[in-house]
Amino acid sequence: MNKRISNKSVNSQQNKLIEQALKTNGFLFPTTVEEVNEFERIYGTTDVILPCELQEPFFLPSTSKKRSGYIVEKIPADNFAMAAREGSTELPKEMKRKIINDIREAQSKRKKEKK
Amino acid sequence: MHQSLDDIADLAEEIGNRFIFRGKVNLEKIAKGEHICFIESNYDNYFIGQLVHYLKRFYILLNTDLLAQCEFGRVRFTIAHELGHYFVDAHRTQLAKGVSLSFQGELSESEYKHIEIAANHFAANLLMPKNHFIKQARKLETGLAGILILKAKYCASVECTIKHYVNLNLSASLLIRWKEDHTFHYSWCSETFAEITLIKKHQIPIRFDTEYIRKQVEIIDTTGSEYIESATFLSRWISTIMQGTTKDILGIEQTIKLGDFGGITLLTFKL
Repeated sequence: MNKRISNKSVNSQQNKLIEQALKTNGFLFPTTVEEVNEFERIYGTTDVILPCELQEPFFLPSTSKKRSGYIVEKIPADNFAMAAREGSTELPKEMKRKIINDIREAQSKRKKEKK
Repeated sequence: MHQSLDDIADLAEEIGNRFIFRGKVNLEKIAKGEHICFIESNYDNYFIGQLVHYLKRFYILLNTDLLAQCEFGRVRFTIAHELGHYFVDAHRTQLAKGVSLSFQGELSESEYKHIEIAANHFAANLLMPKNHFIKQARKLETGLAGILILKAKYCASVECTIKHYVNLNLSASLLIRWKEDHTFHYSWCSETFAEITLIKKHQIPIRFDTEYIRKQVEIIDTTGSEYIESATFLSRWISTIMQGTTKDILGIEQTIKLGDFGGITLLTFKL
């Protein structure tokens, strides 16, 4: 029995290709690593300077569990984690932001020194 | 999840011995070798120091707001403690995964205590490698006189040196730590002390007198002494020991202030 390719699957394949082309060319937001890589290959990367309040995704509503009045926040991509000596029980967001900014400053200083 | 305290002590001693020069362990060199960067900044009173993992790198943060008033030994102990969080596998692995070990993260209070005890144990053994320390201590007088020489030699804090001395069972001794308001904080004793008094190390029945400590502090302040000492009977400090009994042995009581952080009364007994 001959295999038959239905019109439906041809259409969905064409749609996928069109969508991918739109994403890699910047007409739609790229959503996968491959699409972003392809987009960056064509258009290059640009340094986007974000305002201070958008440096970390703290502005996003947290979906993590609440425990004893404290919201456990995790930034999986950065794996930001702390082990403090004689610390208070909570660390405000501003302090967390300051720590990250201090780390970034140290990183850029280090890079400059290396150069 | 937890490495035994003995394993942690061995690991710290091994690292300490590799980086010791004229009795002082070079903490900066240890950190550099592990690509750990130091950051000194103002963080109010949220922590004294901490190890932070961020984007696959580790950083030791030192809070100058709190450490500026501290003796150098305390600064070094803080750094050694943070290195402990890095070198203890379980701590480092958790941090690298993005799991915080403090600030009411994902850990229970008892887990948090275990983690801090492990890091403190590492710090003491890193700053004062066990065998090196024992050799030096045996050449010196027992009690605070010798301990203060050791503290200066290893550039460690007074509290950390006394605790290490007691832990390493260098004499039959009992440590009583009190807070800045002269109230009881904690107590700890050496193995020999526990054996001769038949007291459990974790349940020492201390007879604590805040007023007595306040008077001792007054004497230290008015005389300007580094510490004061006197002879004492064990029954003065242990509530289960009856006065005049054979267990009521005579020892030396030494009291020292730890800056603005309270102080320690150390009892040593010659057998």
